[in-house]
Amino acid sequence: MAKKIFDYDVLVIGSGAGGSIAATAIARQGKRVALIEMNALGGDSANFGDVPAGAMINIARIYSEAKGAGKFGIRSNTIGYNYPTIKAWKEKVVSKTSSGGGKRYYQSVGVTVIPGLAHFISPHEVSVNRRHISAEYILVASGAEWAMPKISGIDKVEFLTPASALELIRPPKSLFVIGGGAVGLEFARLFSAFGTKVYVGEIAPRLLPREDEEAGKLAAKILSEQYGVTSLTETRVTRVSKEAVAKRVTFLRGREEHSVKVEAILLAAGKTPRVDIGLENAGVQYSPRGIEVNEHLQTSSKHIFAAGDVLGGFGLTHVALMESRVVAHNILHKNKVSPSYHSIPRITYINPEIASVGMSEDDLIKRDLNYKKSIVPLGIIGRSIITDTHEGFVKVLADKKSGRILGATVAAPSAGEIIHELTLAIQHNLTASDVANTMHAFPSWSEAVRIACAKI
Amino acid sequence: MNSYVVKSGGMHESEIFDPLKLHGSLMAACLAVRALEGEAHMVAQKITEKVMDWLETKTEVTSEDVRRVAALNLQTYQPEAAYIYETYKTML
Repeated sequence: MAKKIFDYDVLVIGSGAGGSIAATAIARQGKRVALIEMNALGGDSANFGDVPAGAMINIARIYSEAKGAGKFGIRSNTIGYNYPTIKAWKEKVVSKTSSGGGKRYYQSVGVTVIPGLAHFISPHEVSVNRRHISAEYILVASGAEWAMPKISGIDKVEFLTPASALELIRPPKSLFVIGGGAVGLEFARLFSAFGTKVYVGEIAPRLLPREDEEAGKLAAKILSEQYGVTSLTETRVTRVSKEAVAKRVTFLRGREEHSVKVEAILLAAGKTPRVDIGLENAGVQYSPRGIEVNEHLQTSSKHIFAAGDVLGGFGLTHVALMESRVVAHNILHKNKVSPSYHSIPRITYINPEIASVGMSEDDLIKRDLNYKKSIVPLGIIGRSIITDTHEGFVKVLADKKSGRILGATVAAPSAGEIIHELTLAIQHNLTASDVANTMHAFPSWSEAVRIACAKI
Repeated sequence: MNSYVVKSGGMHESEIFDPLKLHGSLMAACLAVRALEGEAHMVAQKITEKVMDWLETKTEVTSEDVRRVAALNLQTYQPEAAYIYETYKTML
């Protein structure tokens, strides 16, 4: 029987982190690759997420630091900001990432870019603007979108998502953030730095519920003390309604009903995978949590792979990039590989940054693992005294018997950089002594990592 | 924007989605479980509107997609009719 002729060797649905790496890597091996994108090239992270939010958060950090520089002899009384200029900077940053000139780049590596919404019509074929495109292999990297929580009246009031919040023409006077995870806190910090009164509603007993308890407590403390953010933990938002030009948010806390009037509401309570792309027509199994895959990221239809947020896992760009590389390898080679999820760094961009890697203490308790821990406050190291920065800590969790590092949290300036030393340690099964016996420069924030490891 | 419906497998020409055709098949499913005509009409109307909302962003879907989304919504209003509708073979 003659081999079926397809339009392309590989079809990639989504040009974000989960799709772009695979598309280019496979095309570089001489395969015919098409990339379908329904929105801006580069996906959510580059256009509406990490990159623009990061640009704005960085400006908020500069502004806050400048305002607080009086104690160092800097005259900071007249410091102000111009929001349109801040937004213009954010746009410039976005234009410099993969989304700017992206089509030309993809064409240069031999990837055909097809704009439009992909919908499976059969296992090897999708429809894009009524054009039927077939491929031998397909990678679904359609991403995720912000979930709409079940709150009475939410469909009748205007609300913000992390993407639309970045498009506001000015910071709102007051804001209720639904969701006290990393993204919710980053936006709380961003807008409160520019003078917005922010409330954060989180259903869990602490902010950053996926991180260690110390991280959540520190986040609540610094957001309150530095920015006047009101953290409402163990809070369930039950109703939202319009009140003239404002919105009223009603919530249950400690079995009592409370409400606040705010100018804007931001939904940041998790994402839901984009699976409404006719997966049934391709025999791909999925649930509301995402597409189901095996250890090689193959779906229930073996020629269809999935990567990134559509898997419903971590929602992190670097995880999607890793999965995309794995899929590229598995499409190109017979010896299939699997993604490794045991040393994933996670960063919350508040001030100081909070970064973690590996297992949290809760994870270790759940798994009934014997562990040792050490926590070192940032205040004991030289860099802290030099910069008058005292809030923060380094926490290391290690296997009780072997001393192998299992997890770590760093709350410090540049924690997002420091965490990679511990990521490397976990990835390569290093012990706390291995890190403690490694020379760390004085004065540096990383000294706290060495001390925490030495104390294990 | 018109949405087109392609028969399963994409082996046939696609045709413009016809809400009346869907309404008729939903009516038939409701009447098959002895729903009153007025109620059947109302439910069919409601489901057809929901399917049209779902189609809003889509240029082309399969007849199976339409059946699946309609059945899913019908489950809320008329579970018995949803069963009949899901198991009935030809719609479009």
